[in-house]
Amino acid sequence: MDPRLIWLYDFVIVAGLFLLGLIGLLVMRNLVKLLISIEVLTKGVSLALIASGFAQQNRLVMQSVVVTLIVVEVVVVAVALALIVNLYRRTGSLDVRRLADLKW
Amino acid sequence: MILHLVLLAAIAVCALRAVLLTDLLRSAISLALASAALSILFFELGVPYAAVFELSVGAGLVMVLLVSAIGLTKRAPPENEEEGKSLVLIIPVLTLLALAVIDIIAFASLDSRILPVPGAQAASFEETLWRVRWLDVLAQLGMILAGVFAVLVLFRKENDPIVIAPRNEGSARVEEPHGS
Repeated sequence: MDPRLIWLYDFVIVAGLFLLGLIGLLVMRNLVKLLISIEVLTKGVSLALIASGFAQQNRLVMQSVVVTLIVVEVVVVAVALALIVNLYRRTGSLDVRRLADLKW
Repeated sequence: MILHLVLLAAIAVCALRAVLLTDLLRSAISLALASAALSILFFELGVPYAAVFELSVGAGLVMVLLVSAIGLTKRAPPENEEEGKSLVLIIPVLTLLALAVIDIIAFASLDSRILPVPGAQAASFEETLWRVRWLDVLAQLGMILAGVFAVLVLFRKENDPIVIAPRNEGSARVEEPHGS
């Protein structure tokens, strides 16, 4: 396999994942869907790091960076879900349009 | 190469379903499938530790957390989810095509810069993680501790002495049971 060709194919999907996550963040109203969009964004970043490491024959460093990224991703998901459950208990809804209490 | 392309297509389809589906449970399952396909791709690219982490944590733990949170909530009325759906369907396709063109142009311009790094494969993964990237390990520890404390604070009880802010009328709804 040509590493540069793999890099090209991977980065088309990376662009798609990043774009999909971004569109989800901009359009979706549900808090859980927003979190899933962030997850999709993170998958794109993971794939970009590994594909770059594969293309540059520098997999070990990228692998350790991706492991760190996965740990950070899980912490973000856990804290975000705790926030979402608390907000649902307060407002009875997962709609972001109902979270207008901080506006003035 | 064929397996690689199939896995890339599976990741794209599962991610698309994860974002576009209105059912949260199916959406979470699609995200887990995308993570599983990504982990197989990592195995194929020769990064087994990242693949194991992605499979166990990205596909397993995150899905358990998402399903647990979805189980604590109720299904929203369908009209809340329909807004902007045509935008969601049209804009990604057009922008993906534009990004693919940009990607190919960037690939052509960066072609000469992508060179093998000499000596990069000399060290093992353990040495790379614990000696070269030791600061990342410390940061992971800090992140995990911060996450644990944040979750503990968010799920504290209302009569906990940590509460400083005075109660108002809106907080009375907190004690109502939900999702049962």
